[in-house]
Order: sequence, then C-alpha cells, then structure tokens
Amino acid sequence: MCTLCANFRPFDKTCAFDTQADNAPITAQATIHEGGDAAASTATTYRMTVEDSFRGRIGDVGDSDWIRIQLQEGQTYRFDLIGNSLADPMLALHDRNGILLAANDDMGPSLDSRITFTASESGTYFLDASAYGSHTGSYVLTVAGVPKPAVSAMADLADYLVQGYWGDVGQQARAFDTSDDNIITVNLTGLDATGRSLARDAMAAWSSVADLRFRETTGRADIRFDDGDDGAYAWSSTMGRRIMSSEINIDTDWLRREGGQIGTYGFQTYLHEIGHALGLGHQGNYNGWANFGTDAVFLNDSWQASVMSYFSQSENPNVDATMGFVTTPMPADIIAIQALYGVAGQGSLTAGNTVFGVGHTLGDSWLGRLFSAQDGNGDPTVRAARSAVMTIHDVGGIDTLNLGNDAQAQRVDLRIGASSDVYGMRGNLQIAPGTVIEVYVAGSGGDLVRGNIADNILGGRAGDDTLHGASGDDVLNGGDGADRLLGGLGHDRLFGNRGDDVLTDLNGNNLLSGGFGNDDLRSGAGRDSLHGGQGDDLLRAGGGRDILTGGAGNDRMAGNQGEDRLSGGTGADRLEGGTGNDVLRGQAGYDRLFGFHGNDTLVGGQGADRMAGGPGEDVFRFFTASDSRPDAPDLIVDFQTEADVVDMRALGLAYDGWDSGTEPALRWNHANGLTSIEVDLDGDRQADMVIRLAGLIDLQEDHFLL
Amino acid sequence: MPHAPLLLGSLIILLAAGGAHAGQVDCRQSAGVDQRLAGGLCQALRGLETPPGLRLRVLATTPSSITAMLVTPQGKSRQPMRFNIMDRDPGPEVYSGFARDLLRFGLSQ
Repeated sequence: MCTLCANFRPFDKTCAFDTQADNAPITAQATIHEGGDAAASTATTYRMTVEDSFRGRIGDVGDSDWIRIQLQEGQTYRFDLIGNSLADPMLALHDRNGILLAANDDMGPSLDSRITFTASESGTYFLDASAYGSHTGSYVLTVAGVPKPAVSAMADLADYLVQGYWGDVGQQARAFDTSDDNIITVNLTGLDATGRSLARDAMAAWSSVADLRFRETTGRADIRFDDGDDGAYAWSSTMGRRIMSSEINIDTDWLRREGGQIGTYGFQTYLHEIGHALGLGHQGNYNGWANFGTDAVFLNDSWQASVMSYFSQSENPNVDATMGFVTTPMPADIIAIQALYGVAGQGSLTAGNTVFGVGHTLGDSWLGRLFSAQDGNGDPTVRAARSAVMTIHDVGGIDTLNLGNDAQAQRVDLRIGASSDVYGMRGNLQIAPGTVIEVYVAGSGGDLVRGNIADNILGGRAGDDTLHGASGDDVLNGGDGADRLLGGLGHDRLFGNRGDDVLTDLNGNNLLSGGFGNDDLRSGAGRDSLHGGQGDDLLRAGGGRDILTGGAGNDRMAGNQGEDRLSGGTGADRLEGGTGNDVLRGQAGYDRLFGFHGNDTLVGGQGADRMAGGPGEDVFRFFTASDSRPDAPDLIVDFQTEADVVDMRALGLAYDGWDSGTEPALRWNHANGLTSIEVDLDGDRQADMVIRLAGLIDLQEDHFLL
Repeated sequence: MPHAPLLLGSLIILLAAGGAHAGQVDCRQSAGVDQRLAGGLCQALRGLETPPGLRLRVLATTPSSITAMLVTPQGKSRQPMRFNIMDRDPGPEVYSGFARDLLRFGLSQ
C-alpha cells in the first residue's frame, strides 16, 4: 500500500514516484478515508481508482455515500462493500448521469455486498454505499479489476490451489510440516459412524495420490473432524506458511441431504474440506458462494479439474462432461497436493502392478469398493457407482484398467491427462498427470480406445471397436465385431479376431492378424507380417520385407515395395508382389499371381492358377503334378523367354524328349494361341501335368530348371 | 452523516472496558479490522481458561480470516497466527476453535 497516498491525497495511482529509479510512476494501492460525509449524488467530491480502498461510514439511517470512479470499456471490475461495524451494507453502481446500472444487497450467505460489472464504455461511474434498513456503521469499499478468464493448463490450476488463491485473499500458501514424517494425525471422535466412514475414505483418497498418511487419535490432532455445527466448512490456523491445525465440520443433516456414501455430494464434500485442511484453496477467488460468469478465474474451472472448484460440470458452459459427483482427487488437485506433500510412494494404494475396474487389486479401499460396485457387487458404502467421476492415479508397475463390464459405447483415451467417456457418461474418467496405464479392456459396446506412449495391450472385446495403439509396441485385440485397429508408432501386434476388421499399421515392424471375417489389413514400411485368417481378406503391405498369408477364403494381397513373401492359402486368391524380388505362393484354389517388378518366384500351388511374373527374371515353380493338372492347368500369361524360367526341379524330370520310354518326360506344343507344356511323370505317354503359357513360345532347355 | 473519527494505522482500540484482569483477556485491535471478527475471537477467548493478564491483539482481518497474537503480562509473544475459514463465514464455533489454537500455539514457549 502506498502510505504517502493514503495519508495525503490518495486519489491517483500516479501520485507516488520512485525517486530512486527514474521517477516513473509506480502502481500503488491507496486507502481513502471519508473525512466529511460523501454526497449522495454525482456531485460527490470523493473518488477512487481500481485497487484502492475507500473507508467510510453510514452515519444516519438512509445515508448514502457516492464515490466517483473511472472505468475502462470491456474491463470487468469487482466492487466489494464489506461492513466493519455496519452490519448489512448495500452497494449500487450508477453511470455518469446517476442512472442506476447495478445493485447488490447480500452476496450469498454473507450480508456484505458485491457487484461484478463489465463496463460497456469508458468513462465516469459512481459507486453508492448505503445500508439495509436502519443499520449504520463503518465499511470498506474495494475495487479490483477482474482478469479475463482463460483456459489454463492443469499445472496452472494446481498452482492456483496451492498459491494463487491464498495470494488473492492476502494470505500465504500453507501446509502441515511433514519434514520429519508424512504422518498427519486426525481426530474423528466428533463424527457419527457415517461421517467417520466418509472421512476415512476421503483421507484414503488423498493419501493415495500424495506422500501422506493419516493416523487416527482420540486426543490432540492435526485435523479435527466434527459434525456438530451447521453446514460444511473447514478452518485452519497457520503460523507463517505452516498449518498448525485444521478443523472440518460437516453436519449430519448435510449428509442426510446430500448422501453419506461414496458417489454422493456428501463424500465429495469430505474430499473438498480435507483439501482445505491440508492447505488447498479454491479454484477461483471465491469463498462461500460463486457465480461462474463473474467469479471464474479459469475457463476450465469445474469439478472436472478440481474437487476444490465450486462449479459442477454443468455449471461451467465450457466443459463437455456429464454432471457427476467426484470420487477422487481430480487432476489439478493431484498436482497441487503433490506440490505440498510429495508424490505418493511405493507403499501407496496403487503402487506396483495395479488392476483398476473388473478384477481390481484395490482390496477394500474406497476405490476398490467403488469398482466392485460398478461390477454389480452392491456395497452399502457406495451409491450410483457407474455415475461416479474419477481420476485414475497410479504409481509405477504394469497397470490394467478393465471396464469390460460396460455395455455402452466407450471413448477411452489412456494418454496422461486425457478424459474418457465410460458407462454412458461423458468425461467421467480421467488419467492423472504422471499416470501410465498399460493395459485396457473395453466393454461390449462399440468402443473407441486410444493408447498412450507405453507398450499397451488394448482389448476391444465385443462390439465394433476402434483401437488405436499410438506410440509404443502395442498389442491390439479387436475381439468380436467389426473392429478398426490402428497400431500407430512402434512395433505392434494387431489381432482382429472375429468380425470384418480393418487393421492398419504403417509404422514399425508389425504383425497384423485378421482372424475370422473379411478383414482389411494394411501395413507400411518395415518388416510386417500380415495374416488374413478365415474369410475373404485384403492384405496390403508397404515397404520392407513383408510376409503375407491369406489363410482360408478368397483373399487379395499386395506386397508392394520390398522383397515380400505372399501365400494365398485356400480359396481363390489374388497375389501381387509389387516391386522387389517377391515370392508368391497361391496354394490351394484358383489363384491369380502377379509378380510385377523384380525377380519374382511364383508358385501357383494346387488349382488352376493364373500367373504373371511381370518385368524381371521370374521363376514359375511347380512342386507336384497336382499343381497344374491337365484338367485344371495353370496359365502363365507373360512368360518372357529371355528372362523367365519354369522351375520343375522338385518333379525329378529330364529334358530328353517325349520318347524316353518309362522315364519322366516333358514336351510342349502350340495350340489355340497357347503354348502347352505337357509332363509325363509315369511314362504312359499321357500328360500327367499341363502348364499353359500365353502365346506361341518357342521354348528351349534353358527355359526350364529341371 | 456525522464525521467518522479518522482511523490511524497505529491506533489501538480498547475493546475490554477496564483492561486486563486475572483470568480475563485484554482484547485490542488494530485500525481497520472487522470488529465483528475481532469481537468474536475476543469473546471466544474469554470463554476459555486463560492465564491472568493475557492480551489479545487482532492485527488484521478479511471476510474470511483473522490475524492475531497473544501477549503475556511479561510482554512475551510468538509470531502472529492467522485463522482462515473456507466455505462459510465465521461463527461462534469457529471463533472457539481459533481461540483454542491461539492458546495452544500462540503463547511463547
């Protein structure tokens, strides 16, 4: 505060100068005293500026003190009229002509008055301090500029809980001294059984995220709980930045009204008040009551960010989340409490390998009971389990989140700080800062699941799911239904399982397995393995040495770049080698093989196959006579005599003409525009095998590998 | 409206008529503090067993906080304590809690 201004003519911020520096005006707060009664009109001689305080007195019944003030267009201001000896002050705001613009008597439960006002034009305004009824006495009027709220990072919201709030109300950040140990003693003897249960669960929730342990005592304690006074509140006594003690009161009527179970506002109230007792402020500069439009400091101030917020999901118009009661400390709370007391250690609830949800490993803890209740195991201490809002916090290990009992469509994002929709709600599950969940099991709905930077195992189970592994070496199991699997970065394994699935992984060396159904598999650069499984599948590999197997069904597959190995499996398959020296095996069925560029090896296998080697020195390989029977001969459509060969080494033939007695023999002839290679394996002068080449080709011995 | 007395920053207003007595508390407040808060704390302190000649100094108030210190008859004191309440205005129960903590922590060891 500028003492000079206060004592002499404290009307203007520029009245004080820093003579030690460059005589530039410095910003200062001034306290103005009502020396003579302020006029109740625009003729008043008193004036103040933003951040000043005006101390006046309502001396007579009906007295009204007007104070002139300059406001700027578009700026929001908060005017507070606080009674000292004046029990019930009233505040009004007038324009430069004295026309009433706004008025307030009581702000919420307090008899003091507050107006929050955004000036529509720059100029002179008048504040009008008066009293309700016949009250008289002294008051103080303050004016503060309200910064425009903005969406801020969780770290900034947390910093406000730890420091910002206390700074805004002229106090210091505070915490219990846990430098010797992390024990905070609590006395619950002032609570009934319901209150004690909620208090214990709420303390467990806080100690699961921070390096804190609560120890019950029946004597003096750091935090004392009571339910004897009306309402819900917490107070603390501090010395410097140290909390000496705190007390929490939540009366029994409050719990009767709001609920005395996890998942109710009653439990959320315990979380909130314990947060205060440990040193956290509110998420905005409000206390006792608040209006989002006028009191929010952060556009994302809501229960989604902090249990210390006064605004539910539905009270903040910027939040896209279903309204629900908070059952854990929320992201900003977790950052904040860890800033005060440290991160939860290895002995905490979620240390090591943890399973959240179905089959949880959280025992009889508050969170364990909540997950059990979500899984249909009714618990008298939990209400509306599937409507609960929570933030998953974990410490180390390989962790699993299993919400396989959810039949509704989920949208799950495992990234740190992300928000997810489960159990038919929006935004009701968040991942805490620093928490990595490795394994996720979705429910039976059509789910959308996104992994994180870890090596994830994502299970879609039933329903038409979309699983995105993101970075890391992930395993994606689509389960039943027509699933869409995206491997993302890393070396991933994708399993479509049942249903017509689409598996895509363009990065890393991946395994894609379509399973049952007509699947679409696509990989990119890298050494990938694509397996279509049963059904008519489409397999498309990218660069790198890929292995493609169609499995049962009429499959289409393309190796594209790289030296690929393609196997059609049973069914009428289409195999395309693409560039590179590829090996194509049609296997059973009437297949079509296209080597395209490169020196390819084409093996039609059984069935009347159609093969085209494409440019390059290609080999058409036959292993048995049944690979190209006379009644179902293969056709080579582009045999190039200067480059391609027919490999029959596996048949044990000799190129010695048709008259070789009983020795196996082969010959060729031209008919109907085709060249037919006829093979006599048993010497009966009947062709046991016929291979057709498109065109009339004059074959030589060196066109065969025998 | 009659002129209000000018409150100087150093002015201490005596709340307890007659000053301190054994078993009673001499309550004083700095200029500008909320008399309701200061009076509530004083009243609560007087409801407790206190050493004779104890003095309460209420140094500052906001709508939700009181900064105060205790001074022994020998003039000894610890650093001021601040009491703040969240989610409601102070009431008798809260003043009693403040007063208890002042006696517990606010007296010099």
